[in-house]
Amino acid sequence: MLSKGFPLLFWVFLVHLAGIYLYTRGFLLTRLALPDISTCTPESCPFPPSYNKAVILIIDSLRFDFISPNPPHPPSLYHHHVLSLPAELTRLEPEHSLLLNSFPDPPTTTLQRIKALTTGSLPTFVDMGSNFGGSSILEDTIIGQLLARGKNLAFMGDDTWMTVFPDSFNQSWPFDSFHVEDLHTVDLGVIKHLFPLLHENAQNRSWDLIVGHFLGVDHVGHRMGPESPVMKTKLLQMDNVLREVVDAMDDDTLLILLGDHGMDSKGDHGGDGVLETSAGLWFYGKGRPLVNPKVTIPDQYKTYRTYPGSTVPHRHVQQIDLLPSLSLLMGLPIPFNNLGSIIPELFWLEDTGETFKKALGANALQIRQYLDTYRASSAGQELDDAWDRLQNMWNVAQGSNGLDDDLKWSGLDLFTRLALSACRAIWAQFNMTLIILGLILLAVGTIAAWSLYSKLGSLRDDWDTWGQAVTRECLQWSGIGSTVGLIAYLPTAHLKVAGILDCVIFGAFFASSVALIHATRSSLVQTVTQSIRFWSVPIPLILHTIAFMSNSFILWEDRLTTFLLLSSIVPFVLTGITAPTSRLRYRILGFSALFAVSLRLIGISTVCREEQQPYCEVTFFASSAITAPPALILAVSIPFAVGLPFIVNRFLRISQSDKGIAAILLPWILPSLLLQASVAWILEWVDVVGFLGPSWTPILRAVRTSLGWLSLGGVILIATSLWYHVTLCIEVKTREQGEKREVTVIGFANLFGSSFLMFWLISFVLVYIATQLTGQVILCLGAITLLSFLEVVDSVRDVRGMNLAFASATPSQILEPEAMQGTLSTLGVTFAEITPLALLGVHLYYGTGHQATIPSLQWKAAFVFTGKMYKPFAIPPLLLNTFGAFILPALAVPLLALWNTAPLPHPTASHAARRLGVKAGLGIMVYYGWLLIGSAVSSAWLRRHLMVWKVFAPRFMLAASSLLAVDLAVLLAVGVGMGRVEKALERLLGAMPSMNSKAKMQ
Amino acid sequence: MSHKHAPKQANKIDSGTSRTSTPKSTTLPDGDSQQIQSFFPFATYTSIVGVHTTLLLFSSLFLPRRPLPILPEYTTTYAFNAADDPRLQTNRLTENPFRTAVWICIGTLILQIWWASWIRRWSLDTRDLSKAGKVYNAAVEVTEQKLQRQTWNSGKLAAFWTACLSTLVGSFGFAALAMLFGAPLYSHWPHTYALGLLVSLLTVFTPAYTLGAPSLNSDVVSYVTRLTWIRLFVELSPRSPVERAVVYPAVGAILGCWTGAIPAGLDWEEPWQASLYPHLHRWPLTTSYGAVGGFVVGSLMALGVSAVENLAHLGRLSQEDSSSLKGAHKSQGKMSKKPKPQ
Repeated sequence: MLSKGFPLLFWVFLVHLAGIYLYTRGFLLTRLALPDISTCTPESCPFPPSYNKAVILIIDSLRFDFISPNPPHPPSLYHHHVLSLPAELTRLEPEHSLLLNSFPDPPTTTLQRIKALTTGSLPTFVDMGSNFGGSSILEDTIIGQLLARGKNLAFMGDDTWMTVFPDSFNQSWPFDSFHVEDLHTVDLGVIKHLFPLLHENAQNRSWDLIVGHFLGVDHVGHRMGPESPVMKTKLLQMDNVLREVVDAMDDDTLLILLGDHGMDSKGDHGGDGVLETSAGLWFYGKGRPLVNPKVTIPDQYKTYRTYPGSTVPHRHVQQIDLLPSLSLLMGLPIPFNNLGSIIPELFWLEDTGETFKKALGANALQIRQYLDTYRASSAGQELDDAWDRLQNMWNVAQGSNGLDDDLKWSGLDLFTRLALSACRAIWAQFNMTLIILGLILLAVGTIAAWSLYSKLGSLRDDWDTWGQAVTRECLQWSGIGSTVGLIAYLPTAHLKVAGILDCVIFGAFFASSVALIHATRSSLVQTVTQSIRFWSVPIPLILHTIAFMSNSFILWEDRLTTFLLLSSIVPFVLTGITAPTSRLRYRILGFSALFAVSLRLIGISTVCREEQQPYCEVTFFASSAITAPPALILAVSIPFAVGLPFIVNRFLRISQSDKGIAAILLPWILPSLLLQASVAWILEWVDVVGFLGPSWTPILRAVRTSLGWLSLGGVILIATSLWYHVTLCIEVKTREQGEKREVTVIGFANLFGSSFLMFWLISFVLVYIATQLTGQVILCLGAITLLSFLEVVDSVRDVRGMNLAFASATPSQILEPEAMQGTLSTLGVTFAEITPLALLGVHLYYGTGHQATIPSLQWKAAFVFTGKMYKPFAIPPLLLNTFGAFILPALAVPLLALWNTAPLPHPTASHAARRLGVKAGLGIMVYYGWLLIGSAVSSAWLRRHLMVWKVFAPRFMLAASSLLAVDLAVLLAVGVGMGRVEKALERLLGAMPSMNSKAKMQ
Repeated sequence: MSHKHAPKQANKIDSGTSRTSTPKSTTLPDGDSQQIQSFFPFATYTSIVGVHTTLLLFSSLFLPRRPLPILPEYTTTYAFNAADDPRLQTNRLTENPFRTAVWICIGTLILQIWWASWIRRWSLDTRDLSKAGKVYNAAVEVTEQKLQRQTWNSGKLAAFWTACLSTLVGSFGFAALAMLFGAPLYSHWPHTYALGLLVSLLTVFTPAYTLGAPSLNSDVVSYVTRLTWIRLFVELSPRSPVERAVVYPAVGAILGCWTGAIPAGLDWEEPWQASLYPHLHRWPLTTSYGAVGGFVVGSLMALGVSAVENLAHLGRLSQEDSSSLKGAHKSQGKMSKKPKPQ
């Protein structure tokens, strides 16, 4: 099973892995975290604590407009003016309350925000992936500063805090953070443990700082979206909690309420959209005045921003500004790595602004120290570009001492802002050496795969031996290459641009790729010369690849894919019009029309990127703010689930291969499995909409979990094992007529294709289970598209075969099916046939409600098999949900070689089918390889572009992960799918040697 | 088209039936040296192409700047008022894409009627003269030709209606195709239809007027017409200057339209793109201008290719004439049998 082309495919996969590894190591950013700790000096702690105690309440995803007194117009019924206490108290007690719109730096994920809030720094993009694992902080934090002063800390809520500060809190009540379907446990837990602490009397108080992290609003956002009655209930609950807290707290306590980040219109977050980076921030203190509304603070210290849809600009700060302000208010030195600036309102209490100036001085000094230390560190040269400006600003501020007091302080303020922007820029610092090495490896590897692809077209029966020889050669050269890499590393080690592993990996794969290109050079040259002919130029691939250079095309890639897909079918249609027989003509044109229409229908479904607004209407969900499927989808969901197997059956009947295992799987097993999966998601919708009331939630949950497991069990235990043992779609009838024994075999013409299709359908069900309702319908349309495309390809090959036969000396060979079979296998698989399948993957990805952005991950899919966030059960469906769209066409790509291929003459047909199947697999890997190169080059080239983290880098991440998904799918299809079908054929044909001549084949 | 000369026509174009590359007889009179100048009316053709392409560009770049009384002013019905943007006050072309598209359609319609009738006359001349080239000085044939011409001329009106009907059908077909390729499905129907009509006017009208409409009937005439259409527009193998003058611009228009869809997605904040105004997409500006531009380029290319070929032919002839006046006829006879390079 693992022989015959599999090692070559695996090698291409390894080259992709190596290229992606090198490139990402250079491209995804890292930040040097300095271990220094700030200490208290008269300058750094300029005044005694204003508050001895603080309560920090974090409401996850609390967007600014939820608490704003001036929300967008018209206000939402569900989330505006609901959590009204902050706005109310700001109006009633302006000297005790301060309400701000804060800007959390992207990535807007909880772990990054917690790190930023406690260190005052800018967590980089690379931390992103550790949201699941978390990692403890080794830098100076306000938590550490409090601990160092013997303060007592209490924590309750989101357990992400526990991963960051495993043993800093004296009392802690963590709750599972990823259990998105549970809207209340965390919040009720926080409430339960918060109030006893607040009500403790002053003598035996057990805390100095309480951190309470509510998750309900975030979960409601993810699950139902902000426009949901549940959101209103949740925010009302939060409002009541706040009112109780305000009642319970004493005069010496500072209350801070904040959202760690916002949420987009669908309730998700993670990116850098305006809605995601607008978080509420509210300070409240009962005792001494917190702010002095009577003084006028000069405008240069304050920034304003108008929330989208609102008419009134509101005071706007950086979220990390909270940290220096809170530290100084509590009498602590500002943590060492902080880049935030103090919030002037909290310190400008007297007309002269004396306190403010002291605080600003401490703030600027701390940042100055930090910059000096960073400059002296190993990463110091990163500051080269900005250093002169920083120095100038600092000197101006210092030099103007006594001359112009205002100039000095605004100079210091500007200095802190400049430091922040300089650091934002340098932590977009790339390792160009690794990036270039990665790009070279990807390019050389893809060219090698391309030349291998062309070589497979020209080889014949001996291809397997050739493949083995080349594999050996590749291995040898990778050995040589890794040695050279190692040797090259030694003299360059002091440059610290590439590690030893990087050098060895690059050497090994570069050498073996070059060796492969050398071994296949004749075919490569041939392909290049051939591609001078207009129609053999892969125009869609070229356009698709260069489209990544423009952010507009990445933003609108879903439309682009529709356009390219339709264009890619044009050559087939043109052949169809000129087809020599009317049957072929109608077949080609009819199936092309079916292909085009179902593609266009898939193209309707979209979740819309934020940037596509207002030219895009969300159709994947009922509306842009409700994460429930549209009514039409609910209506057609079950008919599609039940109907798809029958449609597939109809396709198989064309070649009479609806026999054997197809007769069991298609009418019975598949419909019931698909039905279960659809019903599970319909129940999810029932739960979200809340038809039955909350008391039904646990029951619905249990039913959904069991439906999920039932369908999974059905796929694995029944469908897969059945396919593994029966495998073939064939019916053998034996009729005794006296002495003569007549054997009739039905389903022979498409034996390869139909049996492999069963394997594909089983994988289809797996993806289907993990896909939301709209996506399920889209997947069904995708299956229809795929089958009609296979029929188009098959008929077009017939046309080409007939034309070849007409042009040859013996046109009558057209009547001999076996001879025709031979012609078809020499025609082989062309890249024009692979292109639509590759594009179909991208098209389905967008159609199933995804976008090339991080917030478009469909977290709901993680809860198909489990109500709790139990990773082994949650991650696989999430991966299937995200990459299923790429996996399915890639799994189907061998069908281009297998569809309507009869396994006769016995060993030759098998060999040819396998060779062409491997070739088709390589073709789709090459397509996605070029897409990755296109997006990687554009991301590297435009690495300083305004949009790089918003548009280019996410598309690169999608291209890299989808390429790996496609690689694995091809390996699975060739290794397992084709391997098993061949083995079964071997058994069938080997057992009946006489059949070749005697049996009546259909 | 009368039944009378249908078989002859079938004879002329029969090489289109078997899709091999060796045409035995062609509509192209490239073997007839004496007639060549009249078959390829170089001066007239050049001037007509020049005037036609210039007027097409004029009608697409200048006509749309004036308001169209029969249309409601879209700009005022939408939330955004184009008058607010100083850039747009000067750029009336992009102010209302639908109006622009309709203006281009009107201009193109008029120009195409003129162009198509000229092409049709040319095509008729070609047929007559090719006939004449083969059997000259036969009075009977000349009379028959005159008769034929008369029937052709009398069939003008019928052919015109056929062309209009084909264009209408084609316009819906192209609009549907545009929707398949990604034009909005639930909105902008007039816009999409205007594009379909424009492309249909540019591609379908002229050949339908010259060749007749393709149909699926099984009679000989329909069969021949269908095969001619397939040869011209699917296999893209025109064999005479007149066919080239029909095929190149049509293919150019389609390719131009296809290419025009690409910059529509770019986001340079240009008024002709899709991004500036809610509801008022710039659809179908880029595709329309792409189609017209492609048509113009195709038309000029057809002229260029035909001219070069003609010059080469004349050059060859003059060479042969000078080498041996007597041998000229023989060599021409051979030449006419040689497969024409395409």
